[in-house]
Amino acid sequence: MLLFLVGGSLMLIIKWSPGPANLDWGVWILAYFGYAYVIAAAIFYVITDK
Amino acid sequence: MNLSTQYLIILSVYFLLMLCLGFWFNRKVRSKKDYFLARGKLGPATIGFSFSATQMSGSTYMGAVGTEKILGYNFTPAAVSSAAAPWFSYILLGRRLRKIASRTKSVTLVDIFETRYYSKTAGLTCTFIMLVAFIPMIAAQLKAAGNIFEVLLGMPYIAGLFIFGGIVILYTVLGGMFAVAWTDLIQGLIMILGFAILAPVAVHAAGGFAGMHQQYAQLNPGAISFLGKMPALWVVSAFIVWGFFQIGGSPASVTRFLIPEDDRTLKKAMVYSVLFQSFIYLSATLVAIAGGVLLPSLERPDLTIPTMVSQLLPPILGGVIIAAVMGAMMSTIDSILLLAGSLVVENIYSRYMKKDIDQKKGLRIARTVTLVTGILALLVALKPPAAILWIVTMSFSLMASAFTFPFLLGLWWPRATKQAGIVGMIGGSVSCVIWYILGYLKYRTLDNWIGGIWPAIFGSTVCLILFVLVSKGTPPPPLDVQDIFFGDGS
Repeated sequence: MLLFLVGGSLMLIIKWSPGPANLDWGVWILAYFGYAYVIAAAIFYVITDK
Repeated sequence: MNLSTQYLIILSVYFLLMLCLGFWFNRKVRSKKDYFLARGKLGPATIGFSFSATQMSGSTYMGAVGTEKILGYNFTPAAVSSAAAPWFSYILLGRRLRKIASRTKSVTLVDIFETRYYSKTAGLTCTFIMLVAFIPMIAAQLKAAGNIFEVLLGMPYIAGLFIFGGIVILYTVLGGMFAVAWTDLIQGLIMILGFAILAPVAVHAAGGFAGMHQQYAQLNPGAISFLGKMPALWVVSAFIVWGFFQIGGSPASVTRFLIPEDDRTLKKAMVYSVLFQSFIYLSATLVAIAGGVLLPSLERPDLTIPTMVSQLLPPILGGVIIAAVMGAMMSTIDSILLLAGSLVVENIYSRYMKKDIDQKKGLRIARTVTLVTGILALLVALKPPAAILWIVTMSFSLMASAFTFPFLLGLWWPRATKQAGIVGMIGGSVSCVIWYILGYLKYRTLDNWIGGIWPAIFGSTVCLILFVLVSKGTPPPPLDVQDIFFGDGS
């Protein structure tokens, strides 16, 4: 959770280089892969209790 | 048959289904505990969808999509964070709340609050802040529904308001938590179906994923990345507020943690919530960016989805999406109505006016209070303020400022005292209101704040500081309270 909040906040103020589909890498990582991270973290908690 | 009539037929079938559920579950409700909580009688999917459908209101479909259309990826971190909100809430609050509710036989969140802070004043303060925040929140949903009736169905705003409001109030009054949770599940599934249809169609119409972003960058260059239209602190604050602060800002959702009787159900419910919200917010982002390309000069951004639906989809599919939007509003209203009813009956009437009421009378009063709350919100919605998202955000910010840290620290920090609970709640909510006023005096708007810092962040920070200082300066909680919350097995 701390990684998501602190890491996510820091990602928002970094200048990112351009990525695929006319979006920069920051948008790809947080705004698209961020969902996968949250889903994986929720499932991880259910399985391991951590 | 014209477009409005076809939408009206689909919506009538949908509304009829909701009413049938209300009447069906009316027969299952035997006591006010059944009515408010249905403890142990709902499965993980129903609880998970109900949690999320309550959290995602009409503001998600109307306000948030409209705002994201204008602010683009400056606003998207808030959407990702919203999808993470159940993850924060279930883990940080859910498990402990469930255990303590089961141990203390609590019916409302305020019951737990009152026990933890061993003070009726703490309970009353909590009740008062929630009730103040609930009415505008319901009114905002009703306004959004009235707007849809007006724009898509060609009906007068007032007529739409009363038809929609009447149906949701009626099924909530009849079926209580059973009806609310099951209608939330159905509404959630319709929301998924709605976005599963609209998002690919909208992206395709806007030129495909890469083409859409190329056009969007040309039309709205400041919005294609995280920064450009809004200050960095605004974007970071939104990211933190829309996820973490749902802990305190959405008590109607958090009430779902009092329903399950075991941890396994609660954990499974969390996965349903996270999957559901992730799908909705990801789709909403795509629809909003497509909206920015397809409807760049739309005067009322709140109407992005209804306008896209009427332009891009055949009436039968459009009707499903409009039903999904209505479902999002209904699921928020029904949960708030039920929570408001439970607060008045359990935490005011039963406690201060008539302590020994039988189950039948309690149930009757619960239904009356739910009805009156709904009517009050309808009256407020007759002449509501302009933007839906910001009405909801103000109510949310007030509750997030008041409750996030008193909830969290009350469950995890044995040293938290009753004085800290009361001072924290009042200090947090007052600071939030002051921050809104200062922002308004500087910018003449309610959606921009000094330094870009969101009122929920400012209010919660003040609350946290007061809470810790007062806890340290006052005698520790009684041992029996510490035992209930932090003893063996907690």
